[in-house]
Amino acid sequence: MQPYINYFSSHMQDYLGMVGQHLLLSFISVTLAVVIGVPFGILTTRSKKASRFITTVFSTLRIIPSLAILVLLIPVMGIGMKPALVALTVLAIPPVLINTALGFRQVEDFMVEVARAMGMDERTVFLKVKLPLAFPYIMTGIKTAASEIIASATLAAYIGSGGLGVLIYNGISMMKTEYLLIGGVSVAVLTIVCNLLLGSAQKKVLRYRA
Amino acid sequence: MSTAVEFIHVSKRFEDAASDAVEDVSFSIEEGELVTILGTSGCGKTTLLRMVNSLIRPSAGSIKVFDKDISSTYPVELRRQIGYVIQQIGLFPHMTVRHNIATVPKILGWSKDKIDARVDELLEMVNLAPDEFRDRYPSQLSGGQQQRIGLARALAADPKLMLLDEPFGAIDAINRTVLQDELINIHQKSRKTFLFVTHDILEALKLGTRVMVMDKGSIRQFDTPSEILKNPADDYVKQLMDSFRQGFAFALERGMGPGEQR
Repeated sequence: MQPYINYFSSHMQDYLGMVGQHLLLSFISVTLAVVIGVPFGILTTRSKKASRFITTVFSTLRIIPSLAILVLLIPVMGIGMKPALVALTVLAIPPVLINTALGFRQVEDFMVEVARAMGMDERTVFLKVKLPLAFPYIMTGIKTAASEIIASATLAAYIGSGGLGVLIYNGISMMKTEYLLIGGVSVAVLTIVCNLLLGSAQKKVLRYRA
Repeated sequence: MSTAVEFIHVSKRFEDAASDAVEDVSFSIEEGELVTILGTSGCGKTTLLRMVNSLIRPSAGSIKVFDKDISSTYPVELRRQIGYVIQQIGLFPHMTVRHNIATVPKILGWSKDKIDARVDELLEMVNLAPDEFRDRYPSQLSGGQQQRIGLARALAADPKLMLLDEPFGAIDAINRTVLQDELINIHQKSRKTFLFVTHDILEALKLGTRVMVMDKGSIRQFDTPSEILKNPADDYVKQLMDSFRQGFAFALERGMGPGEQR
């Protein structure tokens, strides 16, 4: 127990800094993934051609392991937070995009027809009917992306982006088990907490289902 | 009495279709009528109905609603003056009963007090206690209750014309009878014009002030229920009415027959 107490008593500031960095890195990449993934997801439901193109691009990107993307980005973007953000965003887009497309596809045609028949213009149909009905699915996509990102952000420390990965890499190189455990458990706890929070938000959004 | 809906040589052919879904149809409906449109699935009755509120554009001919050619009216504007009810009901699942009913009044910019009063008034009209149902979600209602809300929602902004596409088609027979009676009641009180699509002969004859019998995209007969029963215009209508009469007679005979046959 002593090594753990020692670590927290002497490195609390460092630890909190790493947690903060980890969360910031994850938050920014998930936000970017939403900003890119949701519009593209909607686009796939508008035309078959667009759907095929977008799905191909993003599923190809997804096949590349994130560590490989990280390394490949070094010559282009150097090291630090920026290439890490790019790699993590690429990783986070597919779940957001796929679930957005799924969400909009499951909106029944008759629902849209009724909305139009009541005299809603296309913009209102989108905002009042399609988007709210697709929203729970988009939330699922965000939840999946967030879990993946919090776990994968650990790898990003490899190219100097900071975060809890730093602690784990230090633990490996310095043969300190407590570093490994503190880093690993912290990442796991962050993932679980984030999942619970998003899950309860989703439940609130879906309160209309009996 | 003025004309509510008029079709002048209207045809509709869908892309890639070999024949017209609606073929050279002309008729006019007076204000205050409850017209039932009777036909088998694929006869063009739904297409015809959906042309009235411009959800489908005719390929040829012109359609007038309250003496105005709808091709020169902005569809969104037109639809706000026409109530629309369908078999799948289509209540918005993420909105409470109150917000569902308030959809069109909100679009029209009514005040909150006026909307609240209207919601309660409509709930009473469709025999649902406002205090009990106002804040429920559609998933907390039975099928019959949902369609009552569907009806109330379509009536919300007091449209002069109502379009109903097999609204009671998915509702059990007992509740359907009750809803039919309520609809007759609402029609008589409101003097609105109703166009009611159905494939149920009994329903068509029971509700319609006039019945339009359709087959393969054209109108076979458009007359009062008694005229259609007494003087069918052609073999198709005659067969339809005969089959209905025979079915009815058979059921009655069993009910009043001398002994149990089981």
